[in-house]
Amino acid sequence: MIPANPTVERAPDVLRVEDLKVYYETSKGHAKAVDGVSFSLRPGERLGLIGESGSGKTTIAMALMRLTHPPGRIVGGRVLLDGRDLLAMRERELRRARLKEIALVPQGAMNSLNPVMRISDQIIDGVMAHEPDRHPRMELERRVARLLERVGLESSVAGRYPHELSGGMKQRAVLAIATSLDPKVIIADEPTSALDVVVQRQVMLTLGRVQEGLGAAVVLVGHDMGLMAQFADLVGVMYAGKLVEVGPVEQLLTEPRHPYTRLLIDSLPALDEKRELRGIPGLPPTLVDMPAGCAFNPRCPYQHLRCRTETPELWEVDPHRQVACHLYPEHSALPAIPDKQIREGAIP
Amino acid sequence: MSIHGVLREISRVAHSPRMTRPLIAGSVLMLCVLMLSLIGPHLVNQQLALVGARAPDLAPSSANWFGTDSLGRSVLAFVVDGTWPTLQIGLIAGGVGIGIGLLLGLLAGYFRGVFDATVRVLADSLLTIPQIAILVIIAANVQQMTVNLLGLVVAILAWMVPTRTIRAQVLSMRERGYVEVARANGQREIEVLFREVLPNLIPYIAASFVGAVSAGILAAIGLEALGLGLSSAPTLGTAIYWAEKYSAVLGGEWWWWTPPIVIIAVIFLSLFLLSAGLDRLANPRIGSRA
Amino acid sequence: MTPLLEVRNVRKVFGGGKSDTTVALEGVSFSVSSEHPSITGIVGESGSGKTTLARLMLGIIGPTHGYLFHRGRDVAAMSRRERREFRLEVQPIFQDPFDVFNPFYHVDHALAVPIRHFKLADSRREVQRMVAEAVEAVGLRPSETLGRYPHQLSGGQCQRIMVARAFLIQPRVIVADEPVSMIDASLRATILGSLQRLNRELAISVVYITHDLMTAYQICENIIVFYRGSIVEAGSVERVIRSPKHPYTQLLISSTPLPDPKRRWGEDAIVEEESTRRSTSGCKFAPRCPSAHEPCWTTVPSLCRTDADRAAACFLCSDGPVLENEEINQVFAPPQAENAPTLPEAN
Repeated sequence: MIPANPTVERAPDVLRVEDLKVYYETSKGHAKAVDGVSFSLRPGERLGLIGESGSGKTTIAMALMRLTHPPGRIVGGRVLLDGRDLLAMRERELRRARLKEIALVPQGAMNSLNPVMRISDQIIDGVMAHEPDRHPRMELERRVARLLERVGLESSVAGRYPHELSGGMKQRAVLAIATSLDPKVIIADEPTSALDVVVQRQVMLTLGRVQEGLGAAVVLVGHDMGLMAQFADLVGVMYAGKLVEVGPVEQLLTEPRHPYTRLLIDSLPALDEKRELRGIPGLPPTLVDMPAGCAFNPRCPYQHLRCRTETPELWEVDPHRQVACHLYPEHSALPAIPDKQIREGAIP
Repeated sequence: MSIHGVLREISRVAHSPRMTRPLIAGSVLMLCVLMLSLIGPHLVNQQLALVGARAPDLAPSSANWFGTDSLGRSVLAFVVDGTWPTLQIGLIAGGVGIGIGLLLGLLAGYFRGVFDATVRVLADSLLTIPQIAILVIIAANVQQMTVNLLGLVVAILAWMVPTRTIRAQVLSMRERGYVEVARANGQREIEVLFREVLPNLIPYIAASFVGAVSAGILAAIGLEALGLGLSSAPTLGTAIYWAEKYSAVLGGEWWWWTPPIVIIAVIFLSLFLLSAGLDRLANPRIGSRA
Repeated sequence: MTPLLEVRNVRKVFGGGKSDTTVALEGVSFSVSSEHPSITGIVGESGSGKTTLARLMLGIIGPTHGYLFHRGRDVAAMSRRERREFRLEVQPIFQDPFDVFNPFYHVDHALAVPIRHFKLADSRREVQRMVAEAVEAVGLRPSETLGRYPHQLSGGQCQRIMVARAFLIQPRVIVADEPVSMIDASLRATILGSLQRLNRELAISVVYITHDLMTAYQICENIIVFYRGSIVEAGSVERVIRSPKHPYTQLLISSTPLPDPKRRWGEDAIVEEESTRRSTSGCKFAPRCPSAHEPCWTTVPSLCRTDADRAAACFLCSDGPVLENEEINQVFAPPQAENAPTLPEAN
């Protein structure tokens, strides 16, 4: 739970996730893909959820829209969109909310465009599902043209098929579809993972422009810290199904609080200077067989007895800064890592 | 290994996730048919399958469980004797079909070029010709039809689908990274083909084999029902031929044509289930949501 | 001295017939030295031809024009024995860590087979020992990885086993085609570190092919930037990254998402490939280039040496001497003297 700080004035959250839990049923037991995640977003805010494979980030993206499929199941929590719980809604109400208020750009979306439909038809499809009254053709065409222009595509794209477009254009067409009804929240799951660096920049800047124009909030799910640094305001770091650190992007990058965040940042290459590249030793845990206590403790250079028995909770160490680590609140920042610890990785 | 150990091993295999229901059901059915065909003839007096062994056209009774046909043969004996030859023909057709199919499919798919083009054109054209027409022409010209000959005749048209299936798989497998890594090891192409590609084809070979056996039995029964099968020795298809020739349907002698049809149906059902189960083994994505 | 591996004036065209041809590589030359082990970066986006170049260097495909030489011998005309030597000295690491393992066998198979084929061990026990040693050399535990099927391991583990394979074979050159693109961020450093160790401790050269400038900067000494099949800039990595001369290199660098929120992407318009209204028979980058002027559309710029350790193919900086294709290695900075063990002679 996020301990609320009553003295800070907050604009009403457009999206508020409380203790979300999504478990997968496997033959070996429950895999806790998402285990008690909470965060909130104000309108216009950009949250980046960063994590590696198996951290649960894509599971969250799907769960926010209640698109979780078996063997995955949402077992608990609330997803409040403007105060209404999406997880408790009736199917019909939920369908009305999808696309119109909360939109998803799923992973690999650009490869999931219908290959035998023109782009304009695919945009209109979504619109008509929400506005079934007949619209005159001219009006629809104008609307499509406007949507395409908003994402920087020429109106001629409307009449084209997906295979006639480049990767970047396809992804922007997907963005046009997702934002066709001016949603309040846009969830983007690795929207640029298959794209070149130059095209990636174009698509992300487009997403930013559209989002600002709408005043919408964005949840960007990904694994690229560089992308988060360029795009997000707030970053949440996921590890083994839990949020281990949340904070404004600049603070998080210059002064990470959680050991995992720190090691992750240390392992990133950059262009300013050559240095020794250091990865994080060990492997993320398999979700059915989690270590007792903190999930990160086998790989953590700071681990001590308490880490192996007690799971840390997210704790607000500073305004807008939360960490789930037993080092806090005793410490105010991460102590230096002794070199020996890094090499050995503290694997018992 | 003790009985207990054998049962435990069977239980373990039966509970493995790859043993789907179709596979188990198909295996059990096929086992029943095999037992009938292999053990049956020893339990039933084979003399009763000869012409004139009993009085003709007798309805089922405690003396003749399945009654007799118009030639005085015990239907039970005839059918039990005839099941194994029917299966044999299918096995020959399936074996030859897979043998040719594997060889052609592997070489054509892996090495491409003129050979591949030839094989493809040949297989595709033969597939378009009505099978029964060719088979009838060939079978009609065979003087003394035996089980092996009938199996080979049917096998002539049993190789095309296995060839295409295997070729298609090889075409996609040759693009995989591990094939390239094998070449980077200095392995020769033939070695790469047999050591790296072939083992991954096993599920497809098994599925194609079952399909070929099924098609072979069907074609053989077709020929037999037309009277082009074995002249005197019993097979299931021949039983149908005799039943039709002596108007068993019009004559109301249901005990004559029902048993062969039931056994044929069971055979095909088991082959179908086996094929479905093997298909799922080969392609784990069918039927389940990840 | 004869280079270990040399690509000379290679042109590669795909697709038969008149209308559908793609020129994947045009006039590409460079070589890997046999004197000092190096790590050279080949950087480009999709369509740059970098994967085609990788496959060409590994002998998987042949050039349409031009040559690939291994120790001076034309790879296309090699005898079986020469080809085997080529294989022994030039090894790949591919992008997809799962695709390179045969799902029918345990992962040990990928390590044991090259030992047997290259006759690196005499007995089965020796093979097992070498396999276990190689796995440990990349930081994995044999008990956790050997005897398993590829789908039971993570992508990172699989890719490390591929690096272990390189430890076993000890080629002279590793051509690594996007070795960490499909690996999680925290594991990339480990794998790239292994490549650096192979280079420093075993004197193995690495040709590191990627679209990620940041990792290329971290581990490479020299870098070649490709655009649509042609070399647009090459030189020491410090020079090229710090002060890029070619507009495409500049675009690449400015688009790279740096993990520094204080240095965000600029909003300058990026001209897309599709909206090019003017076709070019000159510089391929002209339609997207903010500085394109008259000669760019009609003449292909040649590689000019702008500095001691850099060359670029652009009319904006064409005052230096023209570099013939084969001379491109002249702009490469040699590795630091103390870190450069010399390579053993070929046998």
